[in-house]
Amino acid sequence: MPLAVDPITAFQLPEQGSSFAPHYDLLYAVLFWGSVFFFLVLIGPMIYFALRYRRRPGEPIRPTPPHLTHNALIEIAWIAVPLVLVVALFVVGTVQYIDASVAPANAYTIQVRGSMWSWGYTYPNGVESGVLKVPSDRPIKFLIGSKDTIHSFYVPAFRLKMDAVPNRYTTWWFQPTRQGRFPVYCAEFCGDQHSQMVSAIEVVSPEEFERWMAQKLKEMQEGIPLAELGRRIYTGELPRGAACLACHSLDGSRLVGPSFKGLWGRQERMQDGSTVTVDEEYIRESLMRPQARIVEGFGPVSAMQTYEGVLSDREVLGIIEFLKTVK
Amino acid sequence: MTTEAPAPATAELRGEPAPSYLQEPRGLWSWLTTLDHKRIGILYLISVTAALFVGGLFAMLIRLELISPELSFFSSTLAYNQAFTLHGAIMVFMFVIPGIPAALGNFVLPLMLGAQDVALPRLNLASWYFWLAGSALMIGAILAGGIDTGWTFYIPYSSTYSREGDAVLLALGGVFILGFSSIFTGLNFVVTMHKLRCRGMGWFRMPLFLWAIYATALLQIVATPVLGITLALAMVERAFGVGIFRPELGGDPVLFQHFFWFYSHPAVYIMILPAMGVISELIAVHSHKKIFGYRAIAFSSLAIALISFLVWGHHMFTSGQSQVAGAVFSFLTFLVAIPTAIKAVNWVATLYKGQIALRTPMLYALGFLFVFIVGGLTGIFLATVSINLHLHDTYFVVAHFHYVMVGGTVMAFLGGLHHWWPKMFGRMYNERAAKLGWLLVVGGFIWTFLPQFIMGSRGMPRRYATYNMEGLEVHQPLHLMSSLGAWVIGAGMVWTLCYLVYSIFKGRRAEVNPWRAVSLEWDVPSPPATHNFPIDPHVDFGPYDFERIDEATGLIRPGPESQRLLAAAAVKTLPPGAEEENSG
Amino acid sequence: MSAPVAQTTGTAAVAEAAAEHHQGHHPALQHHFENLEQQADAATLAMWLFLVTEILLFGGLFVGFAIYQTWYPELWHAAHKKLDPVLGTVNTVVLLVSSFTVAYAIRMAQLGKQRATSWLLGATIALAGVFLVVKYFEYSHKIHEGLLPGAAFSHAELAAQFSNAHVFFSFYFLMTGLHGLHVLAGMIVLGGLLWKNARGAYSPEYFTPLEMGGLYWHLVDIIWIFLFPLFYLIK
Repeated sequence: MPLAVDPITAFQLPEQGSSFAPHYDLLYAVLFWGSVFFFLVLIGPMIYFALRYRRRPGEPIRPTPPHLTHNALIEIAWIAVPLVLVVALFVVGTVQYIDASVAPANAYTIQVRGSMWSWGYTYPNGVESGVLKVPSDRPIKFLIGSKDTIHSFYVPAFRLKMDAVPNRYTTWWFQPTRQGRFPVYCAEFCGDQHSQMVSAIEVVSPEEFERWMAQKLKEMQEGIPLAELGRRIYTGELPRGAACLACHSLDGSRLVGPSFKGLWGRQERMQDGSTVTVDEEYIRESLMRPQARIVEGFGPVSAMQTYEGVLSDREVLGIIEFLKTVK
Repeated sequence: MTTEAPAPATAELRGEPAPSYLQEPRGLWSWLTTLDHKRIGILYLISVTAALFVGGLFAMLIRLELISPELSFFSSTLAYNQAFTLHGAIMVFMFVIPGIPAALGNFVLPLMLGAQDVALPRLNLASWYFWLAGSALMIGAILAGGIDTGWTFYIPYSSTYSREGDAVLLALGGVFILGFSSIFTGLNFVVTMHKLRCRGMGWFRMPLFLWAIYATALLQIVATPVLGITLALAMVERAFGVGIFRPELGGDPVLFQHFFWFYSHPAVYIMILPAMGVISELIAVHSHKKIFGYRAIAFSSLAIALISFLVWGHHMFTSGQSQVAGAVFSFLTFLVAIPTAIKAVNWVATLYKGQIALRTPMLYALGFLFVFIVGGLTGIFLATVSINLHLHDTYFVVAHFHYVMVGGTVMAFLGGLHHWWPKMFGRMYNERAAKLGWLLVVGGFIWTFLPQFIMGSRGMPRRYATYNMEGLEVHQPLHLMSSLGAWVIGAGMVWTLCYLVYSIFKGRRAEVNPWRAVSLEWDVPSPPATHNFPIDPHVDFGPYDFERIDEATGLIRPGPESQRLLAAAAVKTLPPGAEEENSG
Repeated sequence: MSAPVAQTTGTAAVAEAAAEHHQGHHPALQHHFENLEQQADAATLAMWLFLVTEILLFGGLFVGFAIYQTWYPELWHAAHKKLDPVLGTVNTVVLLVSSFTVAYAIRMAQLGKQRATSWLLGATIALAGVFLVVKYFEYSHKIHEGLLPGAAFSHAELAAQFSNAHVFFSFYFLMTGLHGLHVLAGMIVLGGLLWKNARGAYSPEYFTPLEMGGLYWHLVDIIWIFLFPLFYLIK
């Protein structure tokens, strides 16, 4: 149920298309009207004083009485009140931000890949598409990367964007609130055709999505599904450096490294005391920079070599998809 | 011998002013080799004004293109990309950063301190030549094809994908050298303020402009070297490829952004703090009332300078930094709002029961408050990290920083220029012409950038050469409005230049103290003599003790202590034998 | 009518200073300073601020180095073995001794021993030369082995182990190279001081430029003191 905002704020914002947008718009409205209030509180007296206290020609200059040169109460109030307000804004804004960046566990994950100057999409089953169709009945998570320079994946209707950075995944997710077509733009300057780097998200009914997906799957009979690709790399069927299975068992037994039985979504304790929820970026980081974070009990340094430059992006994704299936 | 020093003062008392710094020595060469801070200030003023107009020209070209959703004015999107890059780079590095400190600051800082010059005059001149050299490289970059990377030079676009490689290298080199120019100015000012304050000039007797310049100078010293090394690395990456930033060589492009913004966020305050300082002067002087909350304003400058080092990550909320980093940077960014709010309320409170003269400098100060408060409040939107997700890299951000940089810095620059113009050139500009200029600049500014907030929040991304695609063509009316406003600003700027230059030749002669101000630059002739003060000054009053002005003459009345000491000095200096006594 | 008013500000004390100003004071005193002490204070503060900017310039590289070291510790460890700790140690000692000689040169200037000052400055420059010669041999060895930054990297053994082994050498050449440029600049500065000292420009009353040059040289030394363990002594 979308939360209503007043028409003046609504005029400033594009149509809503995600479950995040109504919350966003509400906070925006609070900021907007709060700003109008503070603007008037400062500018009203400014204009009044400037007109009221004009100096008449030849009027002698009066000494300024001490009570007009400083007032600790006003200064403290003007520290305390804004401080309380910004702390409140900080809390609300940060909670919203974390909601927007941490996807629910059941989110349907689509890889977004920016390149000069188009967007490409890869579905969990390995289907690659230049058109982004998503079903309206579930949360959708985007895993955003780039082939060349930095882009930014931006959908105004959802109030969300995130940069597409080479050698890194970023992410955001959304829950569709209605079916329709929502433009996608590139928001980070990426060269000549930056402004033409457009796409669109088509939110369709689950039935229509299934039909479309079945069609797509048929089209790529040749291709290996991602999880299968990952399994082959993991076991060494498809050689890519040392096989993962050599050090990481799938049955819970301890080898050189931790077992990956039931790895996906697990909370891992790191040797520096922090905990990490195993997600795409963590797996990717572990492959590319094995020393960055080490699971408690396997330190102090990892015996693992980096797979930077060894694995293609699709192969990394394959390993991720495969690890999701290891219960 | 001893009577020689006070001699100019007595000559001036008889109405025969000593030759001004503008007159003696003569000739272009004497200007190009001058060590006089006032002349260096004027050299800077001419240079940064030229940069302002060149940067402004590129802005006009950008706005011409954006009248229509299709590519219409430029021959290619590349040309558009070069135009906005050059607009940004020239405005930021060649105008806004040096504008107030190096041009206005150089002229008034030693005068306000009661010093004869800055501590390191040769370094001061070197700073201007570094500015010229850096700017020459920037112009070289234009001639070499024009950079199209955006003024932020983000890697890997600048290192790998931009086809204008030579131009990128030249521009990076240019900004690197401009950075040194900025460091030299800041370093010089800090040393001058520490070591050359005249007798009686305690830290809390300094005009607030100097506090702002001090905070700025610290930022220049501490932040700019990091930009230097970052740009040097970017040059090496572009030229050789060393793989520290370039992702295809195993580097991390986000690291470049961290380094870049570690400088460039404090740089935002290098741009705005001096403006705040100017506004403090203008509001106090033209209200003829002691500034409200002197210490609060002074310390808030330092607080802003300090916090500004801790908020660079707010430029990267959407670049994939961790949620924790996002939250921390958001919180720290909010904290900047506090000292800024303190300044705003103190300025407004100063007007209360003042004796306000609504002359051009004051109008610019009020215009500043109007637009700067909008700029500041929209900054709160952007600091709210969830709100930032949608607004980042849209026209909302463009409008926000123009409200702060143009609405803030340019208006303070113009206000300060009008305020000190009589002192700089000894001539009054035409007040009515100036008010018309103010109306055009302030009105045109609001007209141009207010629509951009709405475009941005409705989802128009920035740095778009065209907007004829799905969902964006609806912004055409707002773009058109913005483009029309740009012509009004342009007209205002040209008009301002015209009447100011005209006044140098035909303006009414300025009094020593036309505004009835009490900081020391208003205690020397307009324009000042080459040697700032015939004898080293001694102050026994604060910078806003307006009751010390003698209404009849407009001059500052000597206090009881000064009178006693003056009399003593007269007795002491008159007898011919006095020099033996004094020389020990 | 306009009667400008330096007189508000005039005092006996200042009049004295103004008088002194126009009398036979030290030729090195600039017009806007009251006395040599104030001038030296200003120069010293300026120099320290300049050193701050230098440290921050290197600071960017140090931070980058530290970040990459935490990302790729195994690479850092393997790559540092390609550096020669003996040559590194020799250069450290050379620079430490040169810091001593320049400090002693200033002491001699304070005591008015002009010749000793010149000899010590000369020794400092010579030691700086030794440092650069050693660096030259180190560099040519690296270049010969293909241990080069970025795309130029061609060391087969390291390349087989690490996909981005060149990054270590990017940092190595950038940081020691920038330091080397500072050594070169220091030699030019010290050479200028030596020349002026030989012409008798400095005395026990006035030796500020020597102090400034010395401060700069100590900075060059200290930066090396940090570079040496960071590159050569990785555990």
